[in-house]
Amino acid sequence: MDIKNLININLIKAEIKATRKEEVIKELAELLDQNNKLNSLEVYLHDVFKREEEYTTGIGRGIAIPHGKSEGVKESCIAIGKCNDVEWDSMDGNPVKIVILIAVPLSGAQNEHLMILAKLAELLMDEEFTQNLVNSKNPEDIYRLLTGQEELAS
Amino acid sequence: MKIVAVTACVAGLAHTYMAATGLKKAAKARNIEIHVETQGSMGIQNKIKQSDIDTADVVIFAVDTNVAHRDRFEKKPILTVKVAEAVKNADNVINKALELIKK
Repeated sequence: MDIKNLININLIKAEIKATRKEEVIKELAELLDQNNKLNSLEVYLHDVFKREEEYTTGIGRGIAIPHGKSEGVKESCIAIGKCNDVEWDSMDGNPVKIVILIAVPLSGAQNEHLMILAKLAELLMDEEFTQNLVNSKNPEDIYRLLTGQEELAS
Repeated sequence: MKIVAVTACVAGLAHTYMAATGLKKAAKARNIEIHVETQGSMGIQNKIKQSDIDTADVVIFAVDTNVAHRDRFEKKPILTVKVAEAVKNADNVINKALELIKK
């Protein structure tokens, strides 16, 4: 089990044109939907936005990790978008350049998937890793960076 | 100095694990022994041994939900912060914990 089970190149979008947080989340959720990862785009979005209200997912250093554990999700996965300085009410006040949208089914999520997501979360505390993410130029860069991490390929 | 900590967030997907990593890094940088238990989507992981709780100087709860089996920590000084605080500035959370037992 490794991160390749959660993401593929089609779930990474290098040029998110949207400039508002809600639009960015919607664009990435639509990408999940187009790739047959959701039961209901509407239900999933509702749950992500509800989660977003609790406190910010802008974790600083240009990264945001909106997420939803939702009945609208068919299988655990992530979508990644590179955007242009989106205001996210981040913990460090900085705008967001990389958005990692996490989708997990409400029940019956595989433990292996959750484990990889936990390891990804841990990696996001590493400044070198987040710097490399923010500096990535295209989907291939991002995909290579993620799949090249030892921690995510156990 | 020895710290034990529990991290937990509402969805249990990301912040729980980021906070745990933050606290471990911050403690390590100061040469403080720390044991961090995560209560997330995979349930309790790295469960803290009762012997470690008993010998800890202070307990940190970085949580947005209830701590499972909270009674284990009953007799200890406990600092409770939001999980986001430990993600954002774990070093400051450690400071607060040390302040708590100085008094």
